[in-house]
Amino acid sequence: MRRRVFLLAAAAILLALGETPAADLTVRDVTEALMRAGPGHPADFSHRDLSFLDLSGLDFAGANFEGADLYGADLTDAKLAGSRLVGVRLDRAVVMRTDFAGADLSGARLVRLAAFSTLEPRAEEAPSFAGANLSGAVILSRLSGANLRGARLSAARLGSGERTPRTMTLSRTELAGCDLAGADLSGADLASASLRFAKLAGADLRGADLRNADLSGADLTGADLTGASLVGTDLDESRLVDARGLDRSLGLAAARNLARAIR
Amino acid sequence: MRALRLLAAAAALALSGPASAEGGAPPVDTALVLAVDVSGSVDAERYRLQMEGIAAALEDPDVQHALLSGPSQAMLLALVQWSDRPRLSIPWTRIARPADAEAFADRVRALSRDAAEFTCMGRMLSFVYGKVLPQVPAPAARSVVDVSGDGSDNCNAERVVELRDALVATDVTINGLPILEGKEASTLADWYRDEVIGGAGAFLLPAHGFGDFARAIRQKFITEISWVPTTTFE
Repeated sequence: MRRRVFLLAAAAILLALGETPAADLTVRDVTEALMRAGPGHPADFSHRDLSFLDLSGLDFAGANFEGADLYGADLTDAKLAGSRLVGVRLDRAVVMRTDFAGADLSGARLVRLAAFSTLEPRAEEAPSFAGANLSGAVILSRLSGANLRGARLSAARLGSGERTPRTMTLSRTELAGCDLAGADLSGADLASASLRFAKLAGADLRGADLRNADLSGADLTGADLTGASLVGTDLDESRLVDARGLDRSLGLAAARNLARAIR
Repeated sequence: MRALRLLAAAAALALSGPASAEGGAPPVDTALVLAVDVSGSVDAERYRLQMEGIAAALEDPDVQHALLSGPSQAMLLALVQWSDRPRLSIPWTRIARPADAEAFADRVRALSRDAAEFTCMGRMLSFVYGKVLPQVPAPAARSVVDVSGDGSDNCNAERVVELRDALVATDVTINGLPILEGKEASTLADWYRDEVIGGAGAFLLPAHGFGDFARAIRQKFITEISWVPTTTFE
């Protein structure tokens, strides 16, 4: 018991100094590294443990985080546009208003991100992934209202079918109202994901797994659904005008509310 | 014509001040962080009194003389508003002429109140230690954090003393301007003395209510910045 109290006290002191028991660097180390960086020599945090650090408000534009651990880090208002975040672990990171535009997040893990300060998602707090590369990433988070315009999500795993433990209170990825216009979602696992009122105009959904996904009210104008799995997909008032490959999709007849889709 | 060009170049060099040995930004005498409490007890009028007090002080010729009185005749100034979370409201700004101080004063007056509920001084000190001071853009002969507020830390998220000591260990001086108004009026000066201030020449200069803030901050600026031996004011 005494040992536990001691460990908790030690952790509290380290946290007060901006350090964590696990992190390789302190917040001050990170800021100093950013100050030393410049055009042509971006800050390098590759394979560093930055878990739980308060990195809010810092400008990391162009920095290299490949393979870094950002578990539980606070990235509120942080600027990560154009950064290299290949294979990073961002699970439980706080990403309110975080700018990931154009960043390379391929193969990253984004499970249980904290994107909102309230139970109801607020679009103004949502992070931006516009033009980011999230191909092969694992995403299981509430990101409603986020900007994912033109993002690459090919083979990304956003679904929550059988692989999600039943004890988890967050049972599916929420992308309601997201701007995914022109995004590449080819081969992505979106099973059971909520895409209500999402903007998917011109999106590439070839071969995507949309089983039991909620696409009600979504705009799929001009989207390519060739080979997409639509069994149980809710298409209530989803806009399918000029959508391509519907005739080559899988299980369209088993989609829900197909008759109410706008075609 | 060539003589005119040479004269212009010489004038430009004189105005820009001495360059640092490393060829980067020229050095300054002091890097000063103004950390202003905007917690729940600081209502709109009290906020205005604080910001107007800071702005008026920066426009004061005596303060301007103090700001520019050191060997480098320049300083760096930043302003942090703090409550639940700290925010760098005005990033590091070089003050090398009275006009620079006056422009900074204009920015102070134009700030929006970033208010919240709690008095999280520990979190503010952590922010200054981890993010603000490491971003000082020029060599500074000394670094000072000027903390003002009307209450002790009620956030409990982080510990003020450890953070104060961490700052002092990096040669930072923390001065305090407790505003003695409200329920902590009789105890706040002691708390600031025991828990907040520290470092070489650190001092406390209380304001006796928000209405006295402008007088206190002016006096504090002069004492803090001018190269006069520091004293404890009670």
